[in-house]
Amino acid sequence: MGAVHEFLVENELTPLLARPLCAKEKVVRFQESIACRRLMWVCLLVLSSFYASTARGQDPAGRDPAPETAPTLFPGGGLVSFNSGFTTRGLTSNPSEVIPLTARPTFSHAGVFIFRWGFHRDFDLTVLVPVITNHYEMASPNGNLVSGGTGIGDAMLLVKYRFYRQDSERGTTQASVTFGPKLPTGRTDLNDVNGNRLPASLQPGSGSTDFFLAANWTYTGLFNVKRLVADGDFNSLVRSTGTQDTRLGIELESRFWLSYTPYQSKDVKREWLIGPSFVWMHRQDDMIAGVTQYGSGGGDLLAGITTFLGVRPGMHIWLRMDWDVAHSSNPGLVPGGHDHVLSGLHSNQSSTTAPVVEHVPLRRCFTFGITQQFRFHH
Amino acid sequence: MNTRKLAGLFLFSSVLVPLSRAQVKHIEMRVEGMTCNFCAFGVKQYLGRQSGVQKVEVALIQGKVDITPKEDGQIDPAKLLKATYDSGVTVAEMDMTARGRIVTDSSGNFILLVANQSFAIAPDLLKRLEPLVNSPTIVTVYGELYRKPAGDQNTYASAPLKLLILDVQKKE
Repeated sequence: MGAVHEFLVENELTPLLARPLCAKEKVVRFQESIACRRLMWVCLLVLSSFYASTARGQDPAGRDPAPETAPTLFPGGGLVSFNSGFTTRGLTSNPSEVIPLTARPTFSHAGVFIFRWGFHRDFDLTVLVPVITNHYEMASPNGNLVSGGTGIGDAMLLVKYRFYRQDSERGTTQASVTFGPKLPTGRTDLNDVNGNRLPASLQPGSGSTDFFLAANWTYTGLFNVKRLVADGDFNSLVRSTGTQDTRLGIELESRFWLSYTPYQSKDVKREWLIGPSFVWMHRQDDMIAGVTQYGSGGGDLLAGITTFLGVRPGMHIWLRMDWDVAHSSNPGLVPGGHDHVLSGLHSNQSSTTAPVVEHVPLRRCFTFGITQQFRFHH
Repeated sequence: MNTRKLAGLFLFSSVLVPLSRAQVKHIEMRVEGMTCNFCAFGVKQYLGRQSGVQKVEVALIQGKVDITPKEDGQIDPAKLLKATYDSGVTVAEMDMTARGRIVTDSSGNFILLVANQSFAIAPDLLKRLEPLVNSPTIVTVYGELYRKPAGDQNTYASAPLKLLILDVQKKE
């Protein structure tokens, strides 16, 4: 597309120029502030790589059902998606056969229904409604005890704002933030086999109104290879006190995905992306009745593979598998400390000092889903 | 109405009938910010619903969008430019292949009349095109209609639209 001659067109196209001039002024101001934002963004990325993170308990598994997490949905576009995420943890043993209050599901399935609406070039709105199945299996001399059930989880209402986009011959660099509340819509009345209410950490809903915050970046054309894309996600779920006077540990998660596109059709019907992913999660200690449960939180480092397959225009299916490669528990009770560690208690039982219920790491996560985009309005 | 305007009006009306054969034959865009199929789907949705658009093809890796107009060629490149911006990406370049007649407008400038639209012709081509001006000859030209100004990011037509005639492909 070389240019030999150029000439100003003075016809009906020119009225369209009025708006761009305003837009240009905005861009200048925007670019001036970009330097500061870039610095902040770099700091955030560095921090996210050092932070560790927490969990995906009642989590928004597959919160972003797109291969690139920073871009917003096209203006006027809609997206419906269903994600199915399976998570497993190792068994714990407890001779008393009482479920610890900080126990996490040994098997969890989150079926997440997602609706997204792109209402501006740089904004979209997402509603997530999960249906969660939690099972807790505990080794016991009398055979393994299994408790759990299924229920609606906590819904989330998230707004994404893309605050940075830089186009170049190499590709596009984008960054966005996502934030919104997690509402206490989930079920919190699951009981164990003995009819006792399961701890808050095993309920589909937390009973608390929490705040979700995420930062995402996408860098296309890594190493000047147009088919190579680096994508990062750093998110946190800031918890408040919910059911059974429990405040689940604040969760932090950092995810990195390097994707390659081996195949892409010209008609936007079919494409295939695949690449390795790394997830670093950290969960702070739970707090029950104002008492910190030292050691109940911890970190997990997962490594896996993620693949997206475009099967028809606007429709994608994907598969993501992650395995535990390293994990750690938060420090246990500090001798002489003032806080107690509660374990093996239900909310209507009295408190006592008990051994720390250590963080049980994730073993593997397996998520698949399907997404359909459509044009919602003009 | 002064004499110049009357003359311009006459020249325009004299070519109305042959212009029924004039049309935009093809539009090609290079876009930025179309990084995945999710974005490409939006671009295709937006452009596919513009009047006069027969077919939209997207090459994601190359960042190219090819638009084939309907048979009548009644398509407005300016609307396509805006629709592409509205779909969430930025047009870096827009090329057009069009069939039309070269005439002079009321100001005496040479323009290419394509259906109900007119595009100014670069002065450098005047000598080459002079024999064709106001003649019944229909020419097929290929040219650059828009190029994003360097340094601009995510803007929509932030500089005046420009027509860069690259080639006169056919005379008939």
